[in-house]
Amino acid sequence: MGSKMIRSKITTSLLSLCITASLSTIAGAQTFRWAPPASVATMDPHASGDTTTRNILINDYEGLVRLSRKAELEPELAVSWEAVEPTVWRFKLRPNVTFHDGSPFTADDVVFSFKRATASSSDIRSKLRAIKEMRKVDDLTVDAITHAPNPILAQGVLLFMPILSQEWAKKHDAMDPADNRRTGKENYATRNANGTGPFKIVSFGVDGRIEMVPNESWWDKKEYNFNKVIISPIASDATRVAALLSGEVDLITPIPQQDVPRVKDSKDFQILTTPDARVVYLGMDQWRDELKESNVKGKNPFKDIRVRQAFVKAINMDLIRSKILMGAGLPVYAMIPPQADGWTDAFRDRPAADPAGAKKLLSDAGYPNGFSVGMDCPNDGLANMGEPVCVAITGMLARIGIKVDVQLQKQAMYAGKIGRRDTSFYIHSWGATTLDALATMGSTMVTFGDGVGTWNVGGYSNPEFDRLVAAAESEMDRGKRRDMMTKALSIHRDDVGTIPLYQPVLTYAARSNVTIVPRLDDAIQLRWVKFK
Amino acid sequence: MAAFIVRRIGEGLATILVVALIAFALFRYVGDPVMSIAGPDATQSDRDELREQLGLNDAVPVQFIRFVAHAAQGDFGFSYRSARPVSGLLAERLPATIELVAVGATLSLLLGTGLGIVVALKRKSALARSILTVSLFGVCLPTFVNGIVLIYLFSVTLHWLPSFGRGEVVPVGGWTTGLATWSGLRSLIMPGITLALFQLAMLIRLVSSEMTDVMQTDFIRFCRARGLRRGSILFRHGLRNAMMPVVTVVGLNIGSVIAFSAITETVFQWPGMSLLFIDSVRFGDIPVMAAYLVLVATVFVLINLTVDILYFFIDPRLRLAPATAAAQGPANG
Repeated sequence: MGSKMIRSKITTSLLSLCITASLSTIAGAQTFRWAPPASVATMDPHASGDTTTRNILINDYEGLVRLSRKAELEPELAVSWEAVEPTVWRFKLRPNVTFHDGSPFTADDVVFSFKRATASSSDIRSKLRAIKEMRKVDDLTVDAITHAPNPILAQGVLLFMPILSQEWAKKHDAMDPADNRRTGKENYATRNANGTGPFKIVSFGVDGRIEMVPNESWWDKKEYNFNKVIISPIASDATRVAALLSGEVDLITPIPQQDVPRVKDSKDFQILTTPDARVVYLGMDQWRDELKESNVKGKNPFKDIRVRQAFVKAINMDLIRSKILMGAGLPVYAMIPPQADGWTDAFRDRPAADPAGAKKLLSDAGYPNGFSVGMDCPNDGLANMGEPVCVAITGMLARIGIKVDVQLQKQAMYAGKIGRRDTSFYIHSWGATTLDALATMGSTMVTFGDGVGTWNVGGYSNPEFDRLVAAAESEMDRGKRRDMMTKALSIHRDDVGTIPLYQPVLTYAARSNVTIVPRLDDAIQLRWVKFK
Repeated sequence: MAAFIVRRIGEGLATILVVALIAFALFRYVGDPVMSIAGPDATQSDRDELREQLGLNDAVPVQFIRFVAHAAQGDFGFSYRSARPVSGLLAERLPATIELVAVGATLSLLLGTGLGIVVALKRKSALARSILTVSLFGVCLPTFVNGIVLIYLFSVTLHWLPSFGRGEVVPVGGWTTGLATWSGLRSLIMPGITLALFQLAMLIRLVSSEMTDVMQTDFIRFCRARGLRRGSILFRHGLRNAMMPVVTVVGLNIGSVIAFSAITETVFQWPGMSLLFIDSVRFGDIPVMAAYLVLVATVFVLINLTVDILYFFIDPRLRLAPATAAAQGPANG
């Protein structure tokens, strides 16, 4: 700032501009400014299933439970919980909590929030499917009744249920989430927030800019030291980095990998990283009798495990992680990250890259000259790594005679194609948002049917695997349950049901004068932010 | 003139309808909104139900007719992402785009005319040559490069101007303006210049060649012979005649400027309609995309119409021509 002042003295014509710049730097001590790539879709936490939206709104709306700095479950609006029956979890609620509008938090609000979050216009209702109903026991006690015994209800389900005030919703005619269907109407909750959390949203601009101020009557101990938060979304990577470098924001999420070295070398800035609770993997159609996009007719080469094993051996992940991901990918060879329950360290071991062995496996399977196959890949997804990773894999597979026809698509289009199982070979990623293997297995690995295996796009099916998952689902003993999950994951791994590639790393950049704790669900908890 | 305008409006409406049809057809291939809305945890039956509610199961012509019927009443439905009315979303974003485009177009017109005259009058000078050379960068460099270079120079290095956003805006009726505050004006400078640059080089060349042509015509020579002042010859007689094609080009180009503003808005995180469009492409937000394209088509049509009408006022010959022809008709016959 000294040099800035000197310059302003010398160049009088620039005086006013420099003063403005200096003032904004001083104000930075009390205002925390954060630039994510996108803003919230809506202020209504039940109206959107969007992760970006959730990760911003958790600073205003709280749930019954939350994740600690170490991503362990801890009480939030509930103080304790226990299973009173296999299908009934009883939650004791935190007393003397008020919403931002001053109305008291009680069991009625929990019951109401469950109803609202499972209304037909809610976009988060599928996350809450495990719960049949919520019942008020007394003002500070609620029962969650589940369809089947559920040992991890709190972390698996209730982590995703923001609590709204019934009184407030009634007063503003926002009893249901705004409906984005044909008959829909916007409602008060779309642009106004009223949670119990550490920060109150005071404005939501046309440009997606959000301003928050501290909630002075928050129930928990305040650790942050600023009195205002400004969230300004910046979609363009280059502009977001420039905004940090010019001192206009204190934190950007994420920073593109190629800009990391430049920012790292400056003493004014720091790079923050955390493993993402996610695994990027390749899926192969193993259920159709003939692949939709291949020159092999009359049979499906992916049904032969030797072909799948050949693919594993052909792909040199060490090379991809060091040269393409440049450190933004950690080694895993299982469908869950190490942070999820069900993990064992053996899940890091990947068969060594061995093109010759891969070629032999292909010949044994009857494809000495390889074959061609289409591959679906998002060019703007997987943290922008989808395209380079797919292209690298194409090159590696070409060496064993597999001609991959990469179809790069916009994320929105790709997600639709994959979701309809209209694919032969694809890259995908799955987040273990509940930090438990079962959700991942239930969605991406069990034999698909209605409501189960929805994202088991490749159609992997093994009765033994399904049996273990079913047994684990209602096993109330955490140790036994964990063993079952680990065993099931090992089976899937031995079957090469998918080809896990890597665990992504979330990379942020911030000014050095601020302490930020990144979390593996990509959420920024503003209550953990502190200026030094 | 009335018949002429009516005919033009009819053609314009047809154009808009065709754009709507193309947009509608294209968007069936940009992605599946059901996937984006329902999220990864949704079951197949959730998705089917949503598809039904969104009317995506109806025949395509039915969907199109419904879209046009609603659009004609200004109703573009609800955004899939924010669940808010699309018309409202666009209306909120309109002022930012209009102000940016107005500033960009004005800057390019003023600079283009001024520099164009300099080049026309001092064709051989070093100044004229350097103007022509430097202005070439404007066309040669892609808009996003221009924008990023400006940001790194004026925001990151010099800390003079904000790198993103619109600054502080003031609501005026249903409009929001950044022209009334210091931070709003500062925020407009770089995006405005970036947007102006792309047609500046072309305008300089156009103005200078038109001016050169006009200044060599007989009537300018007569003006000189009558002893009119140099300034008067230059601006009242010369420039005025040279401006005809310039205004046409600027007018017709406003459509392109709006289209180019998509890149400028992305680089500077300028909260206009184009940025909304870019964001909605990412999410597969079809109602927003369709409405934006129809709106841009409408703007193009309106611009062409306005330019046609402006001709009547700038060029007296056009105004008089039909009347003169009518008056002379019988005499000639």
